[in-house]
Amino acid sequence: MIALSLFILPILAGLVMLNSPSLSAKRLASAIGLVMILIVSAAWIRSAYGITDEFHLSLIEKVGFNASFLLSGPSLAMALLTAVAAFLIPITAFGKDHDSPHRFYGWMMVMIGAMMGAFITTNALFFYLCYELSLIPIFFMILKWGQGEHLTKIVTRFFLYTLFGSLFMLLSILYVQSTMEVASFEMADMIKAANALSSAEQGWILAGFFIAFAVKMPVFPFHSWQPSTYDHAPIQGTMLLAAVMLKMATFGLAYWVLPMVPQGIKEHGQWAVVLSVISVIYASLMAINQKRLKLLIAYSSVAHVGMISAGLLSNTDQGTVGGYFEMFSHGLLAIALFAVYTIIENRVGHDKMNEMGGIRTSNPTFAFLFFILVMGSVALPFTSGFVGEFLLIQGLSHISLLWAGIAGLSVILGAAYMLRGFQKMMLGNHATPFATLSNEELWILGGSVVLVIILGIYPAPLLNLIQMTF
Amino acid sequence: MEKLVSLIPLFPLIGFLFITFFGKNLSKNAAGALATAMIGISFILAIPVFTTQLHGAHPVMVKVLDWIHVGSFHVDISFVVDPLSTLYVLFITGVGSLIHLYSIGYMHEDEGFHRFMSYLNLFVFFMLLLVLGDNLLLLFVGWEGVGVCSFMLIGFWYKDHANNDAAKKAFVMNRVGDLGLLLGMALIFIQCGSLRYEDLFINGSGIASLGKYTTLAAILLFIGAMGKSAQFPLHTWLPDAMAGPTPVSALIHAATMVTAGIYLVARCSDLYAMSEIASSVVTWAGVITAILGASIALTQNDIKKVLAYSTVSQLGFMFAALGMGAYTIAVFHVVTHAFFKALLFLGSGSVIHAMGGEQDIRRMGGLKGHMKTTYWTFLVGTIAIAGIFPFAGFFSKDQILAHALENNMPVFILLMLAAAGTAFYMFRMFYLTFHGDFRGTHEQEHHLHESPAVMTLPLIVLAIASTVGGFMGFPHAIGESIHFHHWLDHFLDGTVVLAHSHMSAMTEILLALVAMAIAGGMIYYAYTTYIVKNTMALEDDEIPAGIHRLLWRKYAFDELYENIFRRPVDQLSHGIQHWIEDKALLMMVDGTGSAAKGLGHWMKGWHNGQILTYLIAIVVGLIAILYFI
Amino acid sequence: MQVLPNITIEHYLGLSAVLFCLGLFGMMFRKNAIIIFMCVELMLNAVNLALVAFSKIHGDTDGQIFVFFIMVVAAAEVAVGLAILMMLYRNMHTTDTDQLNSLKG
Repeated sequence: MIALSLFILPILAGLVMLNSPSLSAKRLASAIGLVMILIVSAAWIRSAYGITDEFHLSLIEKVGFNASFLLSGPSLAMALLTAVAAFLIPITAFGKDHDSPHRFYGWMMVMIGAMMGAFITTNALFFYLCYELSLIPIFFMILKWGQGEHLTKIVTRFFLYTLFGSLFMLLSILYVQSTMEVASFEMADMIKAANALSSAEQGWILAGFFIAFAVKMPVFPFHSWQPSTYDHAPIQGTMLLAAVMLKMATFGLAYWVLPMVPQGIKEHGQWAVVLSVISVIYASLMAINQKRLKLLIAYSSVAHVGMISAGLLSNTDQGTVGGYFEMFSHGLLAIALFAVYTIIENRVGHDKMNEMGGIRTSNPTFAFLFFILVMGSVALPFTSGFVGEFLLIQGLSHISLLWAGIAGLSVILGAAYMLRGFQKMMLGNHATPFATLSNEELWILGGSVVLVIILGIYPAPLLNLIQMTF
Repeated sequence: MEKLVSLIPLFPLIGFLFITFFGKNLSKNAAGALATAMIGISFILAIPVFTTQLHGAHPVMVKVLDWIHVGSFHVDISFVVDPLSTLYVLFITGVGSLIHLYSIGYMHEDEGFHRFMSYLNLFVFFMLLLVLGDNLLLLFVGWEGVGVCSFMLIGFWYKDHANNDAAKKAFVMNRVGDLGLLLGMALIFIQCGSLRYEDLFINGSGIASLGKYTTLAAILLFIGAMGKSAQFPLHTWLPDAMAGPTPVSALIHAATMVTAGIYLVARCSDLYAMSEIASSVVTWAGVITAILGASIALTQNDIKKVLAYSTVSQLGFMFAALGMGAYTIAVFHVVTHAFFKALLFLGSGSVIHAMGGEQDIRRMGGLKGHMKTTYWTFLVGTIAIAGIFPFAGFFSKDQILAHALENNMPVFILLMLAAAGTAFYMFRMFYLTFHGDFRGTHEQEHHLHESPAVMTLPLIVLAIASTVGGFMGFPHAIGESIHFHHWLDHFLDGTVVLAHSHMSAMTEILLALVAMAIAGGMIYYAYTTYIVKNTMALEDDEIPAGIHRLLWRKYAFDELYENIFRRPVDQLSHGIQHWIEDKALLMMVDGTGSAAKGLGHWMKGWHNGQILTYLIAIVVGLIAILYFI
Repeated sequence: MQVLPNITIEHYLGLSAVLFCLGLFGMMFRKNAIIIFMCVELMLNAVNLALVAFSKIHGDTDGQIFVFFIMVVAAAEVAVGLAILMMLYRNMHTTDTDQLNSLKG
């Protein structure tokens, strides 16, 4: 029941909120996030005592379409991330409110529920359903609350592109299913059926999955929807996209694809690794010449996700665990960095880095917190980013030291672009006026900084959680 | 007793946290005293730990916290207590506390005083992690940590973008090295299954399972050392790092952080001893750097830049020694260098302090009369680095040269040249700064004064250390005959691979005499040039084209890197943005959309409402179906 | 004795095919809706002919039952079709199919 409640609670809450304008939606959304954190924690504690939370309900028995949930280690880690995001993101509105907030947060909760479903289900068809379902709320959120020119065009592109990409995943799922004798989309059956296939077939199945995930993550050259969507979406929508939604793709890769087609990855998966590595370098290069903070964060996010994808495809313990850990860490940092963006945008009125400077003089606390987040983003040891990236590079070197080296160039380029951005905005003589942080802002930034450092120094609990199924 | 070791890094961390969060309530003196005391306590704690090692205790691992456990990968936050680490801890905390003390005086007028002290504490914390960690990954933590502290301290005066650029350059170039180290660690883990020194070097030799990857691993680790220790071709950040306050230059960019590379190679001496190729790479990188640094230092006029290039050059000496297998001698030189270079930097800080921020030695002169303590201590440092008996630098440098003489003639000749250059440029700087007539403004002359006691006290202590510090490494050949053994060699035995020397005492003494004669000659040459003939260093625009100008322009490495790395990367980035990101990829995506739309338009043409067309379609379709059935 | 030479199934089918093609081509190339309509009838009758012929050969009545169905449907179709044509003519003042292209996509 715990597993089911994680899925149902946000969806129901979202539907209620959508239809009740009188609710104080922001607080409610955050409160539900908090409840979800508690539920996940309860499941975590139970798992420590060896109790696994499961739920099973046949929806269409003949096809094998079931609502089956299982809170395994990686699922719990991702569920925790989703819950934390649901809790934090409403707070990052920082006193500003949207038009008809009940709709905004209602959609948000529906989306959270859909993503939660994708993380905890063990039914491939249900995973696919949730994967697609999460698109609908964000579509409306961007369309109604987004800003900028050509909004419709950009949203449509985003929607159709990711929808189109997922079709290849469906093909792969259906193909695996067609080789089975029973009608089942359950994970155990899928893995068994896929493992029995020849490595060439597995290679094709990998291709289908990877194209779908590559669009969502995104990986070069399928990323062209991403910068403009991040840019035009309302900032909280961007946080949802970067922190949680794209994790569905990396999670799908780690949770579904790796166990299903190990042979295919080994023998026919090189191209996917190459694409991921190219993606890391490409995005880093793009980030170097960005003039605006939001796009800088967007591209750095592509680089990180490329690293996750490459490391996961090594299909080693370090790569996989590092991948999950980095997903969590990156989700946290994405929320925090976009919160930094919001704070700057609210005060300065724009995010053009060249037109700011010396904020450290006007507001040293903010600069200090931002600096630690930047360090987390460039994977400095004793921040959460390091644990993830180190394990990923370690995993990637199992495939090839050369590729690990090329992907590792992002260590250098990342330092260059993040520090350049930091320097332009925070340092220098000309001091842009910058009001002190409100309590909400301080708590969000301070809280994420503390989390980032704790996860860097003492990652053991999370690492153990992730490895629970290993 | 060894359990104390986990407290050693704790105190600097407490100092950092306390000053950062509660520093506002402290006066400057209190904050400075607190920061110094924290390092001091660490130093006091380090002494008993060191003594146990001195008395031959076995290396001990002290685990603090579980860190990363993934599959077969196990790394903890855990400290190693052995001769090498305790030696490093001792001189880091020792020199560190002196420099903290000095900073109280030097930074007193600065509005960012508290910030400065807290950063220094954080730096020492990471530096201690670096040397105390019992595995390569924890070393890497300290490695990157000191890099960040270095970034924050170089760009301490962040209002000037020149400082920030220097800081960023240091960090990014260090990261080039860090990538090498990271890959080296990955390779070692894949081949050997562990990153702990205990498994790799101490208990048996896990490192042997590297097999054919030995050389690659050694070189990758050395790339890391190159970045941190400013070896050619990653040396250009160190002189720029002088943009930071002078105590920072003394602590980070002379005494401790930049010697982390030597620590790494010495720590992995088992690995380097196995690979001849990697060792010769290390040697030659060191030799080239030694020559490069010394030759550039001949023409620099900024007092801190001269010292910076001198540091680069001395680090080169150390690496040359490492490459030739003289690991203990390199560590020896690290320690003596820490004494005299910290002394020289602090002395130059005292001069800069007196000159009101002026750093150009062409605007100084005649300071001897105004600041006695600084003058004498600076003289001690200068003699020590020039390599005159019995000052500290003599012993360590002489043994590096002796080792080169024994193993590799070309290396010996080049290092001799660099040593001769060192004697010349140091005394050139010394004479120009302290002798002759004062060449600054009247205002400055009026302002000249000796620095306060908090600043001169560290100078005196370091001067003493620079004088007697060399005796801990008395040469074997001579030492044996007078029953004064190479103490350091014995101490480090078992942790670091020892070099074997078969040099006779006679050769050793002869070499020492020759080296000293050359140094003396260079000092005399500097004396005649700058005191007797009273020649002046040339103004920037007077410097003649050719070799002199090339040296003055630091072999134009900055321009070279600008042209072959930074600018192409920027252009590539812009090119990609323009052609691929904004054009090709969008065309691909929107093209798919347009194609679908175009297909629709084309098909729409068929639906023209004419029954004839529909009928033809039906008939053709029917026929096609019948045909294919 | 046989008045006519042997009439085999091929003859029926040949006639049926000719009639069908006449109808088909008439339908395709005439513009007047009424003519097209009559051509459709012609094609239906061609089919009827074939069915009856088969029925005779095989000696069962299934084919003839089909024919009856087709005739009934055709009658219904004539009623509805002509009514549509009437309405078309009233509204558009033409039965020329070139003019009647409001189905155009």
